[in-house]
Amino acid sequence: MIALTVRQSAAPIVRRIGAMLLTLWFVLTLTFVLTFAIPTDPARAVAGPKATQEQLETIRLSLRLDEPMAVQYVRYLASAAVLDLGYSHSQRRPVSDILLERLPYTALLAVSAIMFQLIVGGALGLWAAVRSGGLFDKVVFVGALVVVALPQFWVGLVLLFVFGFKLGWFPLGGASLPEGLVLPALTLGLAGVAWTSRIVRATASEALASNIVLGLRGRGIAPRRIVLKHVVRLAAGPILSVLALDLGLLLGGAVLVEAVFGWPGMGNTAFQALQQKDLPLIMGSVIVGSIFVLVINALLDTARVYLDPRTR
Amino acid sequence: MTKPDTLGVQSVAPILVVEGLRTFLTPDRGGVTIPLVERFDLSVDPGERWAIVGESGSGKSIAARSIMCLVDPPLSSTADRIEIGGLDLTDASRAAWRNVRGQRIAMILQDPLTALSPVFTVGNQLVETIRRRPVSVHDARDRSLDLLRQVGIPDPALRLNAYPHELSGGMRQRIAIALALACEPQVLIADEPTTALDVTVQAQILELLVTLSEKTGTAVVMITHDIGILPEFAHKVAVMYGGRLVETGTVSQVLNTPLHPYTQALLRARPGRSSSAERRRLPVIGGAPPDLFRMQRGCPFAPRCEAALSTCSEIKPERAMIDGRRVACHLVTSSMGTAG
Amino acid sequence: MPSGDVVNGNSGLKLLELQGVRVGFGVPPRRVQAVRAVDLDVEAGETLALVGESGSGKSTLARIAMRLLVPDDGTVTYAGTDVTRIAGRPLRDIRRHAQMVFQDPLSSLDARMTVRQAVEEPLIIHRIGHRTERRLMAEDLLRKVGISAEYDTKYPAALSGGQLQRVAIARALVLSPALLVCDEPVSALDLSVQAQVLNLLMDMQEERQLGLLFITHDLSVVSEIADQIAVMYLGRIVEIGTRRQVLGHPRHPYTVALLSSASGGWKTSTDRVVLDGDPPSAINPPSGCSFRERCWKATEICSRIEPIVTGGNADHSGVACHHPF
Repeated sequence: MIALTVRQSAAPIVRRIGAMLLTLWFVLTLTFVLTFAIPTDPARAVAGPKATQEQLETIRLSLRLDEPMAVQYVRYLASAAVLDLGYSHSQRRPVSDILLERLPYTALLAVSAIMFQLIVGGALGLWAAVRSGGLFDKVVFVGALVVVALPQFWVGLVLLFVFGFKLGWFPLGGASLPEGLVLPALTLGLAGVAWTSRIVRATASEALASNIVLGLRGRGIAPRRIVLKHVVRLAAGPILSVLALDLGLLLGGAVLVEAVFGWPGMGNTAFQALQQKDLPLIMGSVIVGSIFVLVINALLDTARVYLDPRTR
Repeated sequence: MTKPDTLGVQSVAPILVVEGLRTFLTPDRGGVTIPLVERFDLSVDPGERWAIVGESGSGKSIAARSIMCLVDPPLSSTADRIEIGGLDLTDASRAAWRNVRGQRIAMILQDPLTALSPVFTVGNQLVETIRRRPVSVHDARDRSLDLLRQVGIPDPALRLNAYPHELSGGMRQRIAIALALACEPQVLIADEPTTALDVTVQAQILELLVTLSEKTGTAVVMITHDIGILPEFAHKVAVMYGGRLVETGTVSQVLNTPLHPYTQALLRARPGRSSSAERRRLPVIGGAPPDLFRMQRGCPFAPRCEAALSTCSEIKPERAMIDGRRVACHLVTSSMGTAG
Repeated sequence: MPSGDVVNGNSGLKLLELQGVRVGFGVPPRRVQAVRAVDLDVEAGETLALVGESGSGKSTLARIAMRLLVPDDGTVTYAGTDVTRIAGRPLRDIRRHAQMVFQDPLSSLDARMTVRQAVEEPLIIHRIGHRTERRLMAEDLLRKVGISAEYDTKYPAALSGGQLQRVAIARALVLSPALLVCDEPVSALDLSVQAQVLNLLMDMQEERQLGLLFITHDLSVVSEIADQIAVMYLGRIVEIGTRRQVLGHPRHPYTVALLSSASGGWKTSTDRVVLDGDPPSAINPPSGCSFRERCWKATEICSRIEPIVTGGNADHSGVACHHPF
């Protein structure tokens, strides 16, 4: 295939961007096809249940739903390319405006959750590996299991109740920064802390038992340096890989968390759009969400290649 | 190459003294502790090169690590005495050992791929080790270039920025040697440093070790299963079997007139000594290498020894001094009529 | 096509013949010529040792000899029949002619099959005999290679390296092949066990008049077991001759260097030779003779013309060199 031969000679970055665009195109097409698969008449969705046939026809014409699918598809792709994502009838605003407003909040939430997960999960895992077999190790092990079993919305509500209501340390939802960010980020990242700590523990233990660390100890390098400089680097690769895979789940969790805390992000928006059957908004959210995942994925991969030169 | 043939009068204090080293395995849930190395003694003079020879199960690698106190639970090691460069380390703390490692005694491992960390450049790792002493980064870089040159790496400036996996096995082993010598240790322990390398590269590395040892006066203790390298490399040799030293002496003594049945069998069974036109069957040592988890009483070699006496399976032989060398064998001691 | 019942006293029958074999991997510009124009043959009852270091192409050649790989050029002949490009059913049939023993027995034996099952499996695949017969054949062979009956039902994890290699040999012999290809079969074993396994191979060879293609980097092993020795460097044979010729009067500088660095305590007439540099990478071989960059006898002609093997006869080995000893 042409794409394959071109890829062999192009630089890695170009290849990467090419792959991302390909994925994006695939998502767009899939979304497009799905809108025809769902049993909602887009015209009726705009017009509401009390519209007459005439009104529906008019709307249908204005939405150009009478044109052949192929034409609609091409127009759809074209407008997506210039980021004209259509008009949201439930909010009476262009979709791009809505998403532009909401995206930063979700991005902030996701990134905070990821940082929380990596730092806390990483630290727990490292310490558990260094003191493997000890009490801390066992506590972390059990703790991780418990945390993963807890439903996120429940955790969110409990945190809100205890730290927001009872102790009053944090606001009861809303979008104030940075206080309003803490509890939602914690909730979203908690499950991640659990599995991150487990993976880090496993890879760090392996690294500690390896010949590499034996060589470092043989040279008398201080243990702190061995762990913080070498073991962290050695253990980093797998974490980032799994994190990239986990992004989809993270975004899904973001929907719930945003609902619980009233965080004005895209998750909330998408949820409401679904309820309102606001197709342009739904599709817009899917597209932006996909771009978001693709970009973070690319960043994580870059970080991983930087950290582990063997993968170059 | 200077090769003293007999154990002359020691006028210089040994640089490494190990007495009564023992390492054992303590299984987690109680049960019997299993000795992996017992009664290991070693006395190395400055600049001297020793080879510790044995097969799998001989405990040689474990002994090497125990000398540097690098064994981890469930293994643990103790010794009656360990002295490096005059410094008594018998009951030293972990911090004291950490200090000593790299600076007075250093180690080279078998697999060059994992001896170096794959995620940092060669230069980064060299500088890290050199800077255990207060040295500026700039001076450390200069010294790393110097070290790389010493170990015979062409284009050292280029290699500083390379990652280990970009280099060949021979080069990685040279860098491992450079790392070990970075802080000018007095003793170098090399655990099978050439086993994972190609034959022609093995010869290079051995030659390098000899040259460096002579130039810097560093003593080397090499762990190996390959007797063939002894004449070119080592002054003295210690043969291990089943966790114990069975014979020690100078290389020419032990290779030319082996006293212990295991040493004799090993030398006989070694392939590669016939250039005759006819193929012949190789003399074998019957049985299998010892299983340290199921050691019987008595001499560990007794089950495979052709000349075993009844005492051999009952009582472990003590090392006796004969002709300036040490042998642990009932046959030898009884025939000599001496002990101690 | 003799599928390998004992070929009786027919020395001179070429069990394996490789001619002009070439194979490369990868796509230009990163193409590697692993094997470049190799000719060799193995006769019944004799052992050809293929000696070389990493990058020499010896393992690749072994796979070609086993038809696990199809060469780009040249022919592979089993006892007179050209098997170079066969596939499908005919390919499976010739598996009975040549079998292989690998370096690491632990990874070449299925960890989930018992010892006896491992030896029976080839019989099952080739539909030989029925269940009781297969079992008897397997057990018989296991006894022959020195594995006592108590191990029949054990799994590989319970056996030592030497024992596992014996099982691997039994498995290779159960189809009564005429040719055995051994890729570093004793390198992973303890010294005292190496001798046992080598003796076993020699016994089996004598009993069945097997042809043995023995790949190794260890010259000390070669000196015991080989009738003929071929030394490889970067995909070519640089010297080939009888054991006495190659070990006693080596003619190629590389052979001299190999012998001098080998750990059997080998000393040739010249002093110990230590080569410079690393074994070469096959991606960008030097022009002319690929050994010239490490060769102390290299002259200008060595960089222009690649030498080919010449001069093999009863007196001395064939050698590919412009300045042989």
